[in-house]
Amino acid sequence: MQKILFIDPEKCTGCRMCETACSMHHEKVCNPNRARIHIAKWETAGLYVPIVCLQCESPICETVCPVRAIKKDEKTGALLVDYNLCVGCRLCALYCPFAGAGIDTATGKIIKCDLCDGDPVCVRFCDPEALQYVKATRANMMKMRKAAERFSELMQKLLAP
Amino acid sequence: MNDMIMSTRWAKAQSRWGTMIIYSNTNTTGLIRTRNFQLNRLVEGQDLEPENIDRYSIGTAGCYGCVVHCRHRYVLREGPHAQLYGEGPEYTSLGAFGTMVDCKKMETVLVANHLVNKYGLDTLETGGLIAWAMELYEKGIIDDKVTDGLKLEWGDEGAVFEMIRKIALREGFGNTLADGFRPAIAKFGKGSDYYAIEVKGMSNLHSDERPTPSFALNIATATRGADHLRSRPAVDMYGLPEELLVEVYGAPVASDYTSYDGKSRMVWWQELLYAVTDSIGVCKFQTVFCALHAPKWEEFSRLIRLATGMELSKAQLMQIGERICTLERTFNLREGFTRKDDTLPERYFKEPTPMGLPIAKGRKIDRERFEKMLDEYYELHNWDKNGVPKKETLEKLGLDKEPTHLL
Repeated sequence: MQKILFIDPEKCTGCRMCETACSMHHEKVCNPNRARIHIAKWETAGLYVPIVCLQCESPICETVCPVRAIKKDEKTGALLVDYNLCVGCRLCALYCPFAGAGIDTATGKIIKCDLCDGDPVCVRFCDPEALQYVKATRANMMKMRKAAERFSELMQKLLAP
Repeated sequence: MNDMIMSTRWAKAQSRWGTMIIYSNTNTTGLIRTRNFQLNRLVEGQDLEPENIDRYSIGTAGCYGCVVHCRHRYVLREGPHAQLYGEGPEYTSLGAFGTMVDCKKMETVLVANHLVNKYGLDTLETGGLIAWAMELYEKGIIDDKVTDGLKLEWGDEGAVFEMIRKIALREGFGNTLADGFRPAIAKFGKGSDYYAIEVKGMSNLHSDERPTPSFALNIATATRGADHLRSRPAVDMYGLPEELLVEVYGAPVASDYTSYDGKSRMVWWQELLYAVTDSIGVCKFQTVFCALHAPKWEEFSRLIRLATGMELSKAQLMQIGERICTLERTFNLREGFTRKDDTLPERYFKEPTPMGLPIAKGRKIDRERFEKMLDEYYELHNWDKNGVPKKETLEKLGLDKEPTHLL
């Protein structure tokens, strides 16, 4: 079974190591601006959310691409940009509701997460484990546990004398 | 590098509770200024124990690229300050709005920490000034007329919050304190300077340095004023084996933290290291602060090589540290600070510590030995008896052409 990039914003500490590691791996520079993953921060509320391509099953980017340059990698399930076909119209970046595809500030090209060919570097560098690369069953399990915990907290509140 | 940082127990503890973790040790031992400088332990201070942050925390936050993520993000869920969000608090805030003003509730610290962050004030300086004003109020040196009718009583959190607001907005009494210690002393007179715990006009951290001569020398010599982060040899607290200390510091250093022997070397060495640490943008807590095996010269050397290609040996880095310290020193000399300013508040020499474990109780700083320590410290820097850098020192560091208006 294919693995998925599992994101848990509650664990994110906003250190942006993922951005640095990503840009280093792909662009050979430590430049968070040129990373394929970003942390959206609300500093006055303490909210940090990793924003990255979610590798949709029915990708909007693929639908809107006029030259069919977005292709699914059979091995990892990652949506890849075929730069031989891409004309740089940036419709994918415009229409993605999750800001999964972005524009490289140095080259103007479209860049997006390619799951590093099955071993995402951002996950390796995420110390608080807000990013994990796991099988779908495990991701489901983690989600389920979290929901159950919340449910149990709620029940305790309701049942408290 | 990350693995090396996280291999220290200090970093592990810090990533869980932040710098607040220091409180558990220092409060038990008796190394904390309480009621400005009257006591050295916060009795019934359990609520300020770092574990209690968990009640309010929604997770931690890290600085850019840091694996330690030592800052808690906290939200107050109920009470008059419900929905208030803040980050921290640091160990310093625990003291500034907890022990020094004799407030015993974590919530007071969290609210005050939020306020100073919002107003853009320094937590240590603000707390230090408020605690000082409280002691003056208690002693009758200032009264209701001076404080605009505000009753500055120990442990009154309302008074603390109000004073933070007044200082930030420069209202009435707050305006006087906002100018800092020295102008306020000139205004109050009546021996108010005796109660001011400041060096070179800057407030000291809420740590009580009387049982620890090395820390005392640190705050006395810090170029910015009583700055504990300029050269604090925090590893001194562990009582590490002397063989280990010789290896790191390069000459014998006493393992006992109440001793004066070799401590000047410790302070000097740390000062150079911190100057370099600050220059390359590495966190001070993750170099030799609380762990001897944390990254230091050799690792910095490697980092600089990898990032810039520059080859700098340990000796060269130490010389850079020396240059920074000496340059700051000449700046201070130009501004009129001399050896007589490298000292401690009078109370450190006069009043013995009233509380704490046997190792910390009944201690004060011995003036003669302190002065001797200061001599040694100047000698290590290659400065003369008055703390003025010698001509050959300036030449060696390439500072002889600096426009210090002194030479």
